[in-house]
Amino acid sequence: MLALDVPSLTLAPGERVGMRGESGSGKTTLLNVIAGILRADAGVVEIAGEAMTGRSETARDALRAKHIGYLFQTFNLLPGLTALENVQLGMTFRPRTGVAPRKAAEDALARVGLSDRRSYRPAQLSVGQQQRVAIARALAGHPTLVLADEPTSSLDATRAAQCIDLLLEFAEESGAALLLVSHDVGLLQHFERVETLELPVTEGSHA
Amino acid sequence: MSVLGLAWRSLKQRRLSSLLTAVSIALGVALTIAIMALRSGAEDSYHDTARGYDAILGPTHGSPLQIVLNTMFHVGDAGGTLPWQAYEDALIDPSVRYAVPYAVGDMYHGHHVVGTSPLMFKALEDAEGVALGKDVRGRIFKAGKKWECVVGSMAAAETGLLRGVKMRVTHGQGVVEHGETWTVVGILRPTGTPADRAIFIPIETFYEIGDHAAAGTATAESKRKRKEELDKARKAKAKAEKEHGHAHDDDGHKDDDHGHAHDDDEDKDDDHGHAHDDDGPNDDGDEHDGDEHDGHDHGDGHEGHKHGTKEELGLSAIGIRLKSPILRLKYVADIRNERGAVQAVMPQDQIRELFAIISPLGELLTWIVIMMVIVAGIGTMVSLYNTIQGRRREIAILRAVGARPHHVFSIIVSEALLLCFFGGIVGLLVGHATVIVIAPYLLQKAGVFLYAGFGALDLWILLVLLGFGLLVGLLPAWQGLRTPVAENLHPTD
Repeated sequence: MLALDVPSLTLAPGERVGMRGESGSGKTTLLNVIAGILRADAGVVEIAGEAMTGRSETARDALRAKHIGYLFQTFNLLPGLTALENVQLGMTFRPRTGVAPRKAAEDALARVGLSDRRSYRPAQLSVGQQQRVAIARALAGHPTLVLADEPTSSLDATRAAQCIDLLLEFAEESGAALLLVSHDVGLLQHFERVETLELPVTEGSHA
Repeated sequence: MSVLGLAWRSLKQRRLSSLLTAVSIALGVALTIAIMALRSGAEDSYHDTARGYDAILGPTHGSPLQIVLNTMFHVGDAGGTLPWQAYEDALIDPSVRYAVPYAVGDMYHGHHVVGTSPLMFKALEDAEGVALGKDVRGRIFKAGKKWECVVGSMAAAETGLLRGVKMRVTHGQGVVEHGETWTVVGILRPTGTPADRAIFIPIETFYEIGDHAAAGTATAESKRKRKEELDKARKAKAKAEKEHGHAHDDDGHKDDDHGHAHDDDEDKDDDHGHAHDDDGPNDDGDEHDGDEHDGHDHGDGHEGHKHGTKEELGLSAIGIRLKSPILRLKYVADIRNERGAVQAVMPQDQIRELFAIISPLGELLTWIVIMMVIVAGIGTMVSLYNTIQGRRREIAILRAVGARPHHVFSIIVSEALLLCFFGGIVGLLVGHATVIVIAPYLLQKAGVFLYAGFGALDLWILLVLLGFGLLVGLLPAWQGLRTPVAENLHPTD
C-alpha cells in the first residue's frame, strides 16, 4: 500500500495555489482527502478552523458542503439536470446562508457567460460550456476553498487559458482560496505559489 | 432544489423505465379498484334491491333464486307462472301490506317489459330509501288505464323513448312485435336500481297483448273450464268482501278488463278479487289454452302461452311487503305449508346464499390483483435496484457536492414513492374510469349498480401504496448508500 507524502500545506483565505505532480503522484487523492471524500489515516486537515479529519463520513460531507467547491477534471455535471439546476445542486446541501440558491445560481451562470444556456442540459452544451457550468457550480455558493482537479485537461489550449482565467477571476471575486492540481506546467504559470507533490512512498514511511 | 425535486428529475431522466414501472403499478391499482367496486357494488346492489320485498311469491317449479333475480333484477326468465288467485289471496291476507303483481316475458330493444301495478313504484325504493315513483318525469301510469308505460332512466336513454312516444313490444328476445302500442307517460329518475333498465306497463294491458287472430280456436272444454274458474273467482271475491267488510269499488273500471286495479296503490283491499269475465279477448270468444299457440315462444315462463286473461296466464311473481318484517318467517312458512302452486321465497336470503357461493371467487380475484400490485412493487424495486448500478457516478457526484448518505437514501426512496404515488393516482383514475365504463353494462346485464365515485378506500389504497413504495425503495437505497464516492467520481491518478 502506498501513502501520500504531504508536508504541511496552508492556504490563506483568497490565496491561489497550484500543485504540480506526476501522474500517479496522488494529486486527486490529496484533493479527495482535503474534501473529506476519502478519510486520512493520519495527519490533519483543517478548513476555516474546522477539522475535516477525525470526523464521521456524514460530518465530513456536511463540512464539505459548507466550505468546499469542487471542480472536477471530467466536470461531473448531472446529465438529467439543466445548467441552472447543476449550478444549484452545489448549494442544495449547504447550510442556508440567506442567499436564495436559485438567485445565486443565476448570478454564477451570468458570471461565466451562460445565462442564455441556463435551461440547456449538459449534452446540449459544448465541452468548454460544460466546464464553465462546473466553475459556476463550484463557486456559486461562495465556498471557503475551491479544489480544482486538472480542470482544463479536456480543453484545447485556447479554451484552457480562458477557463483558468475565468476560474482565477471568479475565485478572487468570491474571496475563495483555490488549490488547483495539474501536471500542466503552462497552466501553473498562472499561480504565484506552486507546490510539488512527490510520488507516494511505501506505507509507514510518512504520515 | 429539494430531495423530491432531484428524485423527480432522476425519474424523468429514465423516462421509459419509470413510465413502464408506474404503468405496472397503475394497472394493478386499477384492477384492484375495479374488482373491489365490483364486489362491493354487486353485494350492496343486490342486498339493497333484495330488501324491496319481504317475500316473493313465485311458481313452485321455478328456483327460488331465479324467481328473485327475474322479479327484482329483471334478469333471466321467470321460470313459470303462478295462479292469479295467489295474488288475490295475497291482497286479502291481513299480514300483507303491499302485494305487487309481476307479469313478464316481453321485451323492448333488449329491455324487459314488466307488467305490474302502480303500487310497485311506491313499494320499491332506491338505496337512499326514496321511492322509485318519486320525481318521475311525467307521471306513473294509473291502474286500469290502458296502453301507458313508464320507462326506467337507462332504458329511456338507450332506446330514445321520450314522454309521449309510442312503442311496441316483442315476445321475449324475438323480433315479432305485438300489435299493441303503449304511450310513454313517465320516465323514472336514475335510481341506481334494476328499475332503471326496465319498462313498466299496467299489468292489465299485459293480458291484452297478443295476436287475437286465433280467436275461436279455444275448445268448448276450455270455455267451460274458464267459466268455472270465473264463477269460482266471483264466489271467492264475494266471500272476501263479506269477511273484510269492504265495499266493492269498481268505479272507473267498468270498461276495464280486470277490475282488480289498485286505484293507484292507495288501498289494496278495495280493488281486488274482481275476476271479471269481460276481458277484451274473451268477449269475442277468444278463450283458449296457451298450449294451442305454439307460435308464441316467450322464453320467459310463458312458453306456449297465448296472451289472454289473467286467470289463464297467471303471474310471473308477486312481490310481498308485510306489515312487519317480523312476520316474514311465519308468512313464508304458511305459504310453504299450504303446498299449493305457489312458493314463497325471501329475497334477502336468496341473495345472501348467492353471495355465500360466489364470494370465495371474489376473494380469490381480490387476492390475485393484490398479488399483481405486489409483483408491480417488486418490479419497481428491481428496476430501481438495477439503475443504481448505472447511477454510481451520479450518486458520487451528489456526495461530492455535499449530499450526505441520508440525502442519497432519501432521493432513491423518494423515487420509489413517486413511482408508487403517480402509478397509484393513475391507477385510481383508470380504475374508476373503468368502473364508470362498465357500470351501465353491468346494470343492464346483471342489475348491479357500481359506485364509481372516490372515497376513503382510495385514500387507504394510496397510503398503503406509499407504504409499499417506502418498503420497495429500501433495498435500492441501501445499495446506493454503499456506493464508494471517490472511485466513482473519476479514475484515480
